Amino acid sequence: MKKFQKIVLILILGLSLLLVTGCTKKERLYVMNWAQYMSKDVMKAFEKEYNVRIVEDIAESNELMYTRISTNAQPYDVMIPSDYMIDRLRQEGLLQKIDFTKLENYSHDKFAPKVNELLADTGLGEYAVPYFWGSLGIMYNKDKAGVEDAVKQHGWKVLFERNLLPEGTKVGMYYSSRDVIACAQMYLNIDFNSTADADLEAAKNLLLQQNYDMWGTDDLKEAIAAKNLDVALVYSGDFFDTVYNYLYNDMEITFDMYVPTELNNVWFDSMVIPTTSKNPDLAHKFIDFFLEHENALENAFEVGYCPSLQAVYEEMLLDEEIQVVVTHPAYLPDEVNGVSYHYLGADVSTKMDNILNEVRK
Amino acid sequence: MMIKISTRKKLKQVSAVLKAFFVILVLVILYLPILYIIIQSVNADGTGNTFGGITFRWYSELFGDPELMDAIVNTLSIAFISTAASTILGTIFAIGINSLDRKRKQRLIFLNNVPIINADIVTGVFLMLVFLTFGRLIGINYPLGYITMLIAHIFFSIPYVILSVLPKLNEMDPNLYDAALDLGSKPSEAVMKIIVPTIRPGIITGMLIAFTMSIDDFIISYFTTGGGVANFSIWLYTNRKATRFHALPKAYAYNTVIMVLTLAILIIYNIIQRRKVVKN
Repeated sequence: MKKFQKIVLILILGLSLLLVTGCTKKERLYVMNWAQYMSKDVMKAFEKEYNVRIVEDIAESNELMYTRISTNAQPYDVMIPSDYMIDRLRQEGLLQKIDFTKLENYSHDKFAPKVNELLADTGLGEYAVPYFWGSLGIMYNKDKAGVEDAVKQHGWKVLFERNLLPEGTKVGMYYSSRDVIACAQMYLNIDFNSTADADLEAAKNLLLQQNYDMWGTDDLKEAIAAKNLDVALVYSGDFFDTVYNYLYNDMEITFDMYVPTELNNVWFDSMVIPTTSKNPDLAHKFIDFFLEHENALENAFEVGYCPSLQAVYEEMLLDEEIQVVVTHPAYLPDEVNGVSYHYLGADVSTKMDNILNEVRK
Repeated sequence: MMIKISTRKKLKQVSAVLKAFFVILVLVILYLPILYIIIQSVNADGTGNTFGGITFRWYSELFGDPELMDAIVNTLSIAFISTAASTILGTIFAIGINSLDRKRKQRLIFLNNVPIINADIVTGVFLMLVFLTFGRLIGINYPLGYITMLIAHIFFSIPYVILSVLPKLNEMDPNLYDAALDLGSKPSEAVMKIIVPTIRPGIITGMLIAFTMSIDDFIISYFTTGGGVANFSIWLYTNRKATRFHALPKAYAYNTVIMVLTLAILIIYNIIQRRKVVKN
């Protein structure tokens, strides 16, 4: 019995020790982020400078971020959702206004002009500090003869008119109701932020006639890189992720991306402060820290997508190693004609999901 | 007669070929994925699309990634602590259940089976709700984290321990315990010195199941953790999309390490057992 008591005692001691170590006195900053979307070194520098601990939670989707915020799962101080989700959070009163007097490094004109345009269009200027941005586009297999020319000549049309592509071309589509419907609407020259039933119906009728070889999300980029697929709708972030992977592994890049500029969706992720924040002061300091030029530069180098700060982008252009990526026409979407997704309400989201289900049948 | 013998021979040959074929098929299905992971873990091509020669880069990157190391430490520490706790608690519960009368025993065994047949996602969500509600009742507003994940693991492991200990208790002669008491030992001594050694194989089986259940759990952990605490499977799930940071090759390396360790433990255990048999 003594042995048994000892084991129990050790267990209780161990558990209480864990409890104690779990509650260190340091102030905490709760960040909700995407995977690998922020430089660990810059975060450490922030922790050191302000003597705090950053608790980083990773979310896989904007919708998951929404769930976490609306259920108050953690006292999140800063999060980085995308445009339409910020719009939704704002509409539902889950965001605090940013106090720009607390942001020393903030200035409206530091951002790329197109980013400011997007902010004005979505009306999120008071709530969001832009982080990285990009666009939608068509990723294609360069080795498949005739595909590159067709994609560059016809843009969105290649995803809907199979006869424009060489015979045997495999086409993939993004498995997300919003993206697939927006893409169809761009082809039809309809505003993808429209809530009119007729506009949704038009997209649905077009999509019902299509027959895609593959439906996917991030697996589309890998399928094209592995030459199992020839053409697909992708996000610029997905494309550059694959490019970095291939550069790092010294592999030959047999794929490319074309960004239709006549009409497109430009996305931007922004730092926001949700109402769950118990420490908005620290949250402002954190946002400000990432606006500081050197920090923003280091962060952008590590994350690899297009930074919304113009000066950071321009300095990245000078770096030889990363030049091949930064100078790619798909990297900086400043000449793209288009806006970001607006949040269209729960009803429209349900309608869109139903359309996708019907199309998939 | 001659024809009969030859057809019989042929039948035998066919059945031998079929036997060999199915054995090989089963082995291939079971072991090909493991082989694939081992090969990918030393593949120099980080995209995994082609074989680019042998490298041990992923193993060194495995230990050089602090976030991943945190996740691995969490996985292993939770596996060990939850195994120890659930084995002790489960054995105590099993002894208790076994001492009840037939009707009550059956009821409790039924109750014990409910968490086992429950889908992981149901268990995960209701544990999360219990933790959130209970935490807020006692004044902890954000209870989810390491401790809740650990409690969840103990919770879902206990039924498996009970399930593997109970048959051994059934096999045991109930008079042994009474005899020990008659010979002057205290009840606690009788449990530790008579019951536990007799049911040891059941306890060890339960312990191994609890450990495996804990080390490869994803869904329940995913719902019951928070505050940036992740185990390996959660880390893999959240990082798999950023292919430029090579979550998959590192995961292959980790899996290979774990598999080699498991294999080593199994082989050593078998050698010890065999020696014991030879000695006896």
